[in-house]
Amino acid sequence: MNKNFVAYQKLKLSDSRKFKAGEYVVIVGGKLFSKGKNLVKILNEAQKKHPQDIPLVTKVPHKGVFVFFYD
Amino acid sequence: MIEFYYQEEYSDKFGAILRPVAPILITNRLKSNKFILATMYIDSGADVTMIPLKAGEVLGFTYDTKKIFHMHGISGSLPCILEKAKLKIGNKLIHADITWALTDEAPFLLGRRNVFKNFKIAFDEAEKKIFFK
Repeated sequence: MNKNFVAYQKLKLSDSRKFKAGEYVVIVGGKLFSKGKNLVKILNEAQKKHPQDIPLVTKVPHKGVFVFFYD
Repeated sequence: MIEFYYQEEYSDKFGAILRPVAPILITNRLKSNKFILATMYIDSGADVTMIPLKAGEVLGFTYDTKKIFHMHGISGSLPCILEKAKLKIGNKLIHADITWALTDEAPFLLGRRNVFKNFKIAFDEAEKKIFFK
């Protein structure tokens, strides 16, 4: 499994002291790189610092109950 | 066979909750140098794959008011634009129509259109795994 995905699995995105619901989180080099609303800027910085790696993007989930469907 | 995993998240109502997640590489089919690797909820209830606003900007999608339509879900509707993408699921590359939600309130969803017909998908929540065969 990719090291960035392993790092994602270990992140406690529900910890509201560290993460805000709805914000983007970028993981690269097997570590949390940055988080925030401006995904384009964060990814540009991640790719400059880790040009050989593909950053993994995730979003901090809201704490509600999810019932997704879209049609 | 490709294996994905459930991720433990948190719900105010139920506490710890498992959700099926897959890391998917999404590429703009018209601009192959524009891509994003994102965790997506595997959503058999979604007619089509969806990505949020900023993810579409990373992919170089362009805003065109004439192309906007509304997707409907439980909690209302979202303005979206239909785009063409390539999805890399494990080692399999799939051409798929995806919806670019014009809001960052939308999640990353891996929906059925162009995707599910390529696999037999099994959800094994007890083992915290999802299998794409």
